[in-house]
Amino acid sequence: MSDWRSVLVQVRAANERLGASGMLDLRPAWRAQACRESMGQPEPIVRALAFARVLREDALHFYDGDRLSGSHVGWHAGALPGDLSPAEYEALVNEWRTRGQRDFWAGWDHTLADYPKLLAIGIGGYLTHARATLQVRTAPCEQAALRGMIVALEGFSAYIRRWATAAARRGMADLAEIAQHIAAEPPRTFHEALQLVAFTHLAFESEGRYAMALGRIDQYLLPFYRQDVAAGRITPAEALDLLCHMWVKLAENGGVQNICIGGLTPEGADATNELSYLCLEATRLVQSPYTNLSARFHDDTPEAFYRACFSVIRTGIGFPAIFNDHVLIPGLVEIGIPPAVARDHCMVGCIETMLAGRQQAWSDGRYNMALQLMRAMDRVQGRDDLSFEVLQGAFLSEMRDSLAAYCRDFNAYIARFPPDLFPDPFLSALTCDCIERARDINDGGAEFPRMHGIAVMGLGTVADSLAAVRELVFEQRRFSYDELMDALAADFQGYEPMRQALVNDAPKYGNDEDAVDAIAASLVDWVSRECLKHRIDGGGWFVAAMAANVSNIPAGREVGATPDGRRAYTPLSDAASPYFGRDTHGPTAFLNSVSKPDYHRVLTGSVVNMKFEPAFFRGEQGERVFLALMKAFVRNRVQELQFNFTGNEVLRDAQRDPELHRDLVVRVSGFSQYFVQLSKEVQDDVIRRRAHGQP
Amino acid sequence: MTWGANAERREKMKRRKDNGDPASATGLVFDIQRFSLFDGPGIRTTVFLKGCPLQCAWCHNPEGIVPHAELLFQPELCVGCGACVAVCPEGAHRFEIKEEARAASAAQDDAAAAGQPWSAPVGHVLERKLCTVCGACAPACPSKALELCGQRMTVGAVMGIVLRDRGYYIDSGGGLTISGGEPLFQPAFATALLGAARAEGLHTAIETSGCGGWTDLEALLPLTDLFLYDVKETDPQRHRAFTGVPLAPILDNLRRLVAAGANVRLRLPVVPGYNDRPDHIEAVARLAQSLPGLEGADLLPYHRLGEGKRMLLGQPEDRAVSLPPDTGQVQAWKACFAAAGLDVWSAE
Repeated sequence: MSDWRSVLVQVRAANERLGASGMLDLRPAWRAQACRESMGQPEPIVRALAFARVLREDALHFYDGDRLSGSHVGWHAGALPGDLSPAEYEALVNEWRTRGQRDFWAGWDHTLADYPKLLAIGIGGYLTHARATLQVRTAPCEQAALRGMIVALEGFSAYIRRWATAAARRGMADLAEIAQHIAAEPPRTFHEALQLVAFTHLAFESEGRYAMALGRIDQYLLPFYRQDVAAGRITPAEALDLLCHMWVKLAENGGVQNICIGGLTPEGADATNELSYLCLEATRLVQSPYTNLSARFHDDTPEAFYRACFSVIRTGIGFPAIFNDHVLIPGLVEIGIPPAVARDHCMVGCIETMLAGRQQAWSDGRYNMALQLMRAMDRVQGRDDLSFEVLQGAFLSEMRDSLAAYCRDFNAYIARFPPDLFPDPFLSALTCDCIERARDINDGGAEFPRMHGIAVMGLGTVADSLAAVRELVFEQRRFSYDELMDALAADFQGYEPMRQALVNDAPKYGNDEDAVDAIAASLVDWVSRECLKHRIDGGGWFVAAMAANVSNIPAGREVGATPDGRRAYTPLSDAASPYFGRDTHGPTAFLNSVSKPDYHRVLTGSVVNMKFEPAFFRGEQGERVFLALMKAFVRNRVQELQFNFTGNEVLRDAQRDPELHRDLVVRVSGFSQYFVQLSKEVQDDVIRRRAHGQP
Repeated sequence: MTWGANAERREKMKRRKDNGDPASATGLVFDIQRFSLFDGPGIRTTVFLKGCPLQCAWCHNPEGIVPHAELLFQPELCVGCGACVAVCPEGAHRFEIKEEARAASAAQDDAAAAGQPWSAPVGHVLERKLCTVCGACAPACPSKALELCGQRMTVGAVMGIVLRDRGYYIDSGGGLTISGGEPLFQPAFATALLGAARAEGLHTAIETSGCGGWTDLEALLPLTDLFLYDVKETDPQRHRAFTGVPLAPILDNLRRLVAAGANVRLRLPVVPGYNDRPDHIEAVARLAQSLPGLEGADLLPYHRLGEGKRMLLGQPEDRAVSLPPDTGQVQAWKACFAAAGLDVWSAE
């Protein structure tokens, strides 16, 4: 068995070296040189040649102990090659920059190849198909698109042959043979299949793409794995070792790389298999933050898979996030995706939904819902007929208008990247159905158009704010609308008793209180329907997302004080989660609250963060408890959950700023208690005990 | 779009009338804790009943002792709005300018003049002698500095909360636990609540000091899947001194419970300076050996939660009752019990 751990150590050292000042990225210069040489040819061919040039020039690098070839080290250098002056280098880099390329919004990264097909037919299969199509699709634009794809595939194939030669030269006969074979032929073994995926992923990275995904790796590698096991070519331990090496490759690349396991097969049966478990084990072993593991669940997911997921989650790494097939699949079917394709979806980036290898690249942008509420509150102030219903109406009309404006802006933006000037030959070649249609992925080549996620910011903040206004202003009449507006304008300076009432005397999302949970549910429903009314120019859907990443912080900087008692310019609630610190009735109440919205139209994905004290989940009893929470997640049709296990750092934060940590439950002794409700001494006791490694 | 049924829901609750069925039996409840993980198996909801005949020196739920509502006061949460002063019929609340703060405030006079009562250096004084616990101030207090502890609730209302987590109980093997205070202090309510939980198919547990009439305990037998039974002290004299009640009836009840076939776990608080003695530990082990079919025992090392709560009740201790044992001590006790053949689970 080889030692992926020593490779990981070398990878970290190499990445540190690459990040040091003075290191040069040679790729833009190589690309610009290729562009100069191919001036006058159609753009797809020019860009394909630029892509191939990088792969030709790359100074191939191996780590000692590599069981998979491939590294990004060789396209960086500490000094320019002898024939390239600094001035010339700079000129080339500028030339490439001027040519420009797609960006995230225009459909560039956060995507993946059609891996099942690539493994089935190999690069050679694609080339054969493309060359045959070239004979029948004779329109100039079709010819250009196809030739671009062929050049890219040929360049990719040549790259793999270079790796074969280099491996042979280093005496790594097995890696040489693998690369030699898969340079054109479809892989025959698990090891070959994994190597082809690794090379493809690396080639995408060579183009400068970020957050590329691997898709349903436990599905498309399974036939290879089972054949190898049946033939006695591989043991589970050897397969695990190779997966660990793959995870180390991903650690070299860095960023957010999504890997999807479990879920349903295209036919609707349980897809969980031996490899799903090996992927979990690799994640648990390698403990890398870059393998963003997504586990799909459904009603018939085996109990063992729950347990295996939990064994990774309890390490505190935060993976896997868990996803609900019974929410996303109906949502995809509802917009017209065939059920078999919908069942085969994966995640890209953090949690976003993708029809792997069949769709234009996904993107998203931030939409500040809390800001719309505050605009509506301003607008209705002073009206004679002011009521909660009037405020609701104004809020919805603000949202309707601003969502329409958002979609117009997005369409105007992507119009700056017309497909003829910004073709994407390599990704097109590996995306169904670009070769058959003889079109670029962004020119109608992909089987399905893109989705753009409108990431709605501040669900919890807005739900709590509306509940507080209704409860305290319109129902209890504790203070008037104008007084509230004055307090908000003053950021509660001079209105602390009112702020306390807003915080304490109105229901808060996340506590299983129907009054406010129903508002959150209505918001999710309304906004996800409203987004779907809009269409992307050139095809595709605007869909709601409730995944803030950390954008709830900048979004909060745009919004003054809100009626939930939140102070001006502080962060909004995160993603689809309740506002932090306001859920004080424990995880079951929290989960019941977030179970109430119907997320199936939030097609780009939603994120609900749950924080836990690790000590709750020790031993068999801990596992039983955690599994019960996961099962409630599946049964209650929540879309996504992810888990944070808190450490002492969080506890110290909680001591400094108790109001933001009112939901933090810690185990004090044989029982548990809200941390901020403990006396200072007890808090210190808890921290001290945990610092000794004792929960 | 519908915005929830807030007003409707409240109306419905108002219309709900007592109709003499067990669901309308009422009890004095001081807390309902969902996602309780250490009061029996699985995910549980623990209902804390107010009132307890014991007066343990180390009590960690001192707000559960007195069998009537009490006012909890946490002065550091007070924002000085004066709402309590306005509603209190007895004049029990007043604000005093603190001398030491007066000097410090000189620089902040501008802020105070700008109408910021909360930033003024005031001391909120609660005269507990005047307070009748009428409950007027707590709802008026916006910052939860004042809270009423102890609420009369029907079995139906308690079950309404308990049943919200039914799915979690089923999946985790959890259910309802009644704790306190002392559940046997409100036997009719405890029986009705356990009966209601049983009728819903929930696993039921009760945490008890065992200090109550055997008839009351016997009535709970067929309704209770698990008894968590405290053994606080095995020396009769010390037991009386530490808890205020005699030991013999408690041990008697324990033996009868075990003889009747109840499922029992012992709960063993270990409080340094009180019962962390070898003779007590040995006696507990002997006791356990004499109880056939005992499910096991849980070690509960002392913690200081009760001290903070005493402050809220206006009963500050002049010195620490005890100090939490360190992990080494807990391990040593565990080893003692284990050596005596008692299978002990420990929170540490």
